[in-house]
Amino acid sequence: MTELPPNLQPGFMQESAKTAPMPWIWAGAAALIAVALFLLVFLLARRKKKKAGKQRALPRIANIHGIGKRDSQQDTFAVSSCEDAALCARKGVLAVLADGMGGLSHGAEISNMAVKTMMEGFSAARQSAQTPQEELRNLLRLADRQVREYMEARAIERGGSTLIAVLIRDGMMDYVSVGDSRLCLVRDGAIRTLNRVHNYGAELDELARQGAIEQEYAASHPSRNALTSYVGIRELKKVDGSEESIKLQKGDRLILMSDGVFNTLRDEEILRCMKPDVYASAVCLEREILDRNDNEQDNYTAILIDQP
Amino acid sequence: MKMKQCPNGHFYDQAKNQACPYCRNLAPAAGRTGGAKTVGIEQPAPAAAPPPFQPQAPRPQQPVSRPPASAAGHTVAILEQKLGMDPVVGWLVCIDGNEKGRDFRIHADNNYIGRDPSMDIALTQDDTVSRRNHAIISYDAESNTFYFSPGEGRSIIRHNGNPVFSTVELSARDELVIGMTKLLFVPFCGEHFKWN
Repeated sequence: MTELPPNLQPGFMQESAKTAPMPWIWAGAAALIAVALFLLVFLLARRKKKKAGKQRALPRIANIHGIGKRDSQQDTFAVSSCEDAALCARKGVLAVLADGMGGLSHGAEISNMAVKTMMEGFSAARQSAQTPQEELRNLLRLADRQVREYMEARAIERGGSTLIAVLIRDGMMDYVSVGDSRLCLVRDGAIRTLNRVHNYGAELDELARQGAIEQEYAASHPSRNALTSYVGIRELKKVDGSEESIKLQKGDRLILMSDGVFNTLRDEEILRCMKPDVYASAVCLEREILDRNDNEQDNYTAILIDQP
Repeated sequence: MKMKQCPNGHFYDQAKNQACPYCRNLAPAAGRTGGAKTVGIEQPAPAAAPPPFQPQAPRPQQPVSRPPASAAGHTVAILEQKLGMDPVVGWLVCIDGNEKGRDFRIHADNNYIGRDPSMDIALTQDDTVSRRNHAIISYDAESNTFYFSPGEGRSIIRHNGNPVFSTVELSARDELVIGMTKLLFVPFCGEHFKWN
């Protein structure tokens, strides 16, 4: 409950009526009240406008998504809606990308389900006390549980999905990732991968660094590309994510990518496509991929997010 | 251009597309009656109840988008149970082609052959080899036997000069052709040795 300004409280009026019952004072008081009311409305309207202006500075987003030369599209992506600017400013923007694996259409079904569960969980959740890191991990766990149940119900033995999700709120960014999809930050003309990928190669490299195995053995291992963590795995233990929120700078651009993008384009080639406009950059990336005309082009998906 | 966001969270150019061009990709189950719920992302759906499932009409096996998909679970087991023990069971030696003189290790179970460096056996120098899964060489530890199978490659693979359309059993010193690369098969496991 907001308190009324003293000159609008009923007591004030009664008192003035008692002490000065002359008509011209009545008129004067009425005029004063009218002016005060008008000012109040005007100020409130201005404040609202200012707020709306602030909210309009939401991240600018573009995406590319193609089947490549495969028979089915197993990548899925989604970005939360910002139609309600106030809600969007409060809850932030969630972008999710999943690259499904598995024969037949299971890969597609699983990645669809993982993304859908994340988005539904995000839009259903009210603002809560949990940190963005917890929020993302909880959403991921929800998606994983849903996928496992789905797979068990249909006796799908092998299948799963990578998943990478980014949450941007108040200019702060958090992410969570399983599998080998990538999150890159383009800042000051340089590109940097933010997440650690979960494949056997990465683990072998780490062991080689520690001296547990030979570098050559790690580098030449045939199963380097196999995933060691993904949505739908029996026990989801390895989850990569931001430990604390990362502050975004003006002009920062985040790119979420499936392996169909970064296996086809090198970092320099991605950087060359980074134009000031986020949509033009996305168009450039897609054209670069399609221009390769690779007979083996995998499903490709990228979400580009610009911090205004 | 006028960017629009569809209910499933995709951005698209409204001037070029009347409806979201990405949502049709979302619908592997859309053709299936009753499976439509799997496609919507922001459609309200009961979180507890998984979407109804209709058995699929039989159709040819589609290539897996990522070969290690099947290996993924397996690799975890290897990693957790016997780290550093994925022993060599044989070799392929390149006897003709861009990598003449080089040998490639064969490990147990499926070895995917392709041009991509991430392949189990990566023939990176031969542009006529498909990037992923051109062919598969397998060692079955139980029967102590090697097999050679076609994958999703564009060109026909050969075994001792004959085209291979289904899995063939391999014997020592068999000659395999993948793209422009000729490989000689040299088993390590076999009659005389087996890992235990």
